[in-house]
Amino acid sequence: MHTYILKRLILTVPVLLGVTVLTFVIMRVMPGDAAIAIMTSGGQGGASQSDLARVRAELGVDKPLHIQYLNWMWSLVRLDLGNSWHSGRPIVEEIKLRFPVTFELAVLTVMVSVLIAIPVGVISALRQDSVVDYVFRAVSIFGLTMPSFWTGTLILFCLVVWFNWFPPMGFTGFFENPLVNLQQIMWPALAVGYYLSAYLARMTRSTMLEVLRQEYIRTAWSKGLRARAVVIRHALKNTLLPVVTLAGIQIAVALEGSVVAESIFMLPGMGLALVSAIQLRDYPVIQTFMLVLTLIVMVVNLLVDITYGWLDPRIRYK
Amino acid sequence: MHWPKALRHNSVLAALLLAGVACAPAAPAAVTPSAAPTSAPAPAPALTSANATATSVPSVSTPRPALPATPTRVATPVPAVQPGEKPVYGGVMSIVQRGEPPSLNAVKDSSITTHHVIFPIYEYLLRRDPTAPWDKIIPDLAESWEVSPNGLQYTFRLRKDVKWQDGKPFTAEDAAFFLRLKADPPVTRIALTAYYRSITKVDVVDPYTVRVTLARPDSVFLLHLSESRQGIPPAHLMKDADGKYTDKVLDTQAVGTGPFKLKEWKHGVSVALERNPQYRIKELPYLDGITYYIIPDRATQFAAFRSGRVDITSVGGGTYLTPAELQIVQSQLAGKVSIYYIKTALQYTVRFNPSKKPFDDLRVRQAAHLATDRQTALKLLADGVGAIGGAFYPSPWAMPQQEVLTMPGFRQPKDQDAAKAKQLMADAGYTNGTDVVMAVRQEDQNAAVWFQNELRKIGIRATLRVLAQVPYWESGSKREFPAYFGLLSMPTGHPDDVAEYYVSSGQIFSQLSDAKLDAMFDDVAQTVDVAEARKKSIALDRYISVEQVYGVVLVHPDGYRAAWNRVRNLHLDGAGQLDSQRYEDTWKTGE
Repeated sequence: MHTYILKRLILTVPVLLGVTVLTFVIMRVMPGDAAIAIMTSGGQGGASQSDLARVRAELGVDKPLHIQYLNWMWSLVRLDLGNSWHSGRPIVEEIKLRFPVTFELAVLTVMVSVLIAIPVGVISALRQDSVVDYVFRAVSIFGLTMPSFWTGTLILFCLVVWFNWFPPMGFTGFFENPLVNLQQIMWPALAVGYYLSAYLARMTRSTMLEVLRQEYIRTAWSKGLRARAVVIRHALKNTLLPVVTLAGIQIAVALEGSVVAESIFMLPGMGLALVSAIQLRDYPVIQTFMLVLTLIVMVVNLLVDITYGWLDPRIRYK
Repeated sequence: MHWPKALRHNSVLAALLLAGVACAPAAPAAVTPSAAPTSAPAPAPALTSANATATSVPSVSTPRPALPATPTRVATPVPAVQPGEKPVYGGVMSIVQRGEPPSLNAVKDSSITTHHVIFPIYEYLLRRDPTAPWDKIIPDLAESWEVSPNGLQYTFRLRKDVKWQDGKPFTAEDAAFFLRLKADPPVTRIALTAYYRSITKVDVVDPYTVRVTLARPDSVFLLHLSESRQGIPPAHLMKDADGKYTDKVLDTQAVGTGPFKLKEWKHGVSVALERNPQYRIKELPYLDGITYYIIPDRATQFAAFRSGRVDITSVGGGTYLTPAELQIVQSQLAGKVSIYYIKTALQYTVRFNPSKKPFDDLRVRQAAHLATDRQTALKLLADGVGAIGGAFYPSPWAMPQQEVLTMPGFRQPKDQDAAKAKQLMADAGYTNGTDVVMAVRQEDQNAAVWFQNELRKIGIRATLRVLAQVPYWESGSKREFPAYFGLLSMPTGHPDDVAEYYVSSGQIFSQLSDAKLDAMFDDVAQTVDVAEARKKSIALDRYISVEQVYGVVLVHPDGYRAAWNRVRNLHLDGAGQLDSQRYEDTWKTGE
């Protein structure tokens, strides 16, 4: 197991290198001059071509592409993540500020997704083709079709219109005030979690149906075991294998796709900052954030794979 | 087969627990009038316009006139301060902020998202009167000024009672530093330097007098000094250890002489200001602080306001109240909320590139101008809120509205103009129409689609190339497309605000090379007599909009903001989008 983990960690290096090349190339190929973005912040400000040339030289974007890439790589080797071209703030400060928010949202989102999906999927499978099954499946499909930004906006307006209540202003960290934090982050987690739970619930249902048809389950029933024992002790664990895979992917989705939830619910996360950086062609921020997010996704995938070994003792890593 | 009870019970319990915690009522935002500032100022005197002077507390007891009743404006008469109503000290006012400021740097950054939050922190040499129309300039840090007869020298006498937030005195050295910085920037990234291009010399005459010498008369010099992004930063903080210029401190600090100072900037969350105890008017401000909450999403902005979590809605294009929101405010919040009409100085404009077909032909440009139904544009693109005009926002510097509405292209009905437009297209050789690609910013594509249909009526089949902001400006700098559609702004209402789109002096936004146009812009800027300058500006507007049709302005959209009535003595509907927002004499009651 340790060898396996070490191998996987070593494999992250070429993957990250590939991501650096991809991100670098895409940003340079994408239309939009970073110098214009800086000089026109807001679309006005008046700039001449000579001003732009000076700014390009200051930013280093007038150098050949391979030199720019190597300069960036060298700074990464020295663990110098650089500063934002627009705010001038160190990027490491931005990550320290924003990553915990995005991570908390992603974790809560997946928790909500799992809390909704697994019971719904299991009950649906146990009550296959009943009214309960149809209702749950309809709710799942509804979640699949309704985009999370719409659900989020709907939640917000229901709170305001029906309860005259709005989440507290000014994001508060979990360790500052857990209650206020939960009041702020619960709703985006619910909106995105509901959307993601749809996939998970359907996967749980179909896998559970497959598992319930296995001979050992029939044996368990015929032995007279209680439903709780059959479903939870025997069937659920085997159902969870593909579900865990999907949940792991969902963490990645939640991490990368948090921008809408962050925008609607005013969360200072990485998603929103990344979108803003892309709009402003803030290359250092984009490149660094992509690296960080890639690294996290790889670690999550590794944890998911390790979880398999715990769920299914037949799986052993060499 | 039974439901596993534990599974069912646990999930229900978990859901109930989460719902209970999340719905725990938050403490209502209470406004507790705090004790008066520790310097124990005397209670604010009952002020009228009779005893208000440039150095005393601005008048707060003069009832504000009701807004003019026009069919398109629904702004409520601003609740007059009641007789006997005294300002209340204390409370923190909250305002919606539409986006994270890229920095707090007043000299480097010209974006409205930055200046919206730092406006209460800085003062200017001169300021536009927030309670008066466009360009009524009043003293600010300069308590008086003189202009030499030839219009080449301006002498500013500065207030002597002004201190920076760190207690150091504001002197002529600070004013001179600012003017020199703008006139001769030591680094590339200094914003709005075009406003100061005519300065040749800045002299410190004495500790409280600064003299500016211009290369040529500039009728808009004072107006530019008063523009809402000309906050004066502290010279003593803008040198590094080697004495070289640096504005890095301003990236994250806003250090001014205004009524408020920066308390905390929580990135992505809020910018909080607090009372500046060094402010020159000891009785002010009334508020303990102002918090700008960063709310990027449009719907969330209104939800936060409606629920009472924030006191005032946002400022800036795209954030004013929509018709639906206006209707909610009028029907459900009547009597609790006031609506303010905002002269945004924005314009939906398509700028033609005369170096590319078909707009290299004046007849085609004129056809586009004649075909555009401005009244429908006002209704559809601006929800009926705004004005119809030429290249300049309706103000004393633009063609008079009464004249504009009778001119071809602007008038109703459109039959005659539409027929003439088709004739012009035929004369230009486009009997069967023509295809054209028009670049449009992402945010403006709805308006562009409408204009696309207008062009189709005269046979111009326009394809929209929708671009994000940065590629849009980059494309414009390369003059790639025949036409560029977008939302522009004129912060001061003066033609200089849009000169960069029309003059040919190497500015990246301009598509044109017209020596006569360049000369006309210069002439307006250099005419000292304001009345004469305005006449020339009107001629310039006519030249751009009607004679040469370098652009078609569809509509000048205005907007509405709203504020809860617990906030008193607001001047949101003053000149410009920001000028009224220093809040030095605003207070908040507990209602």
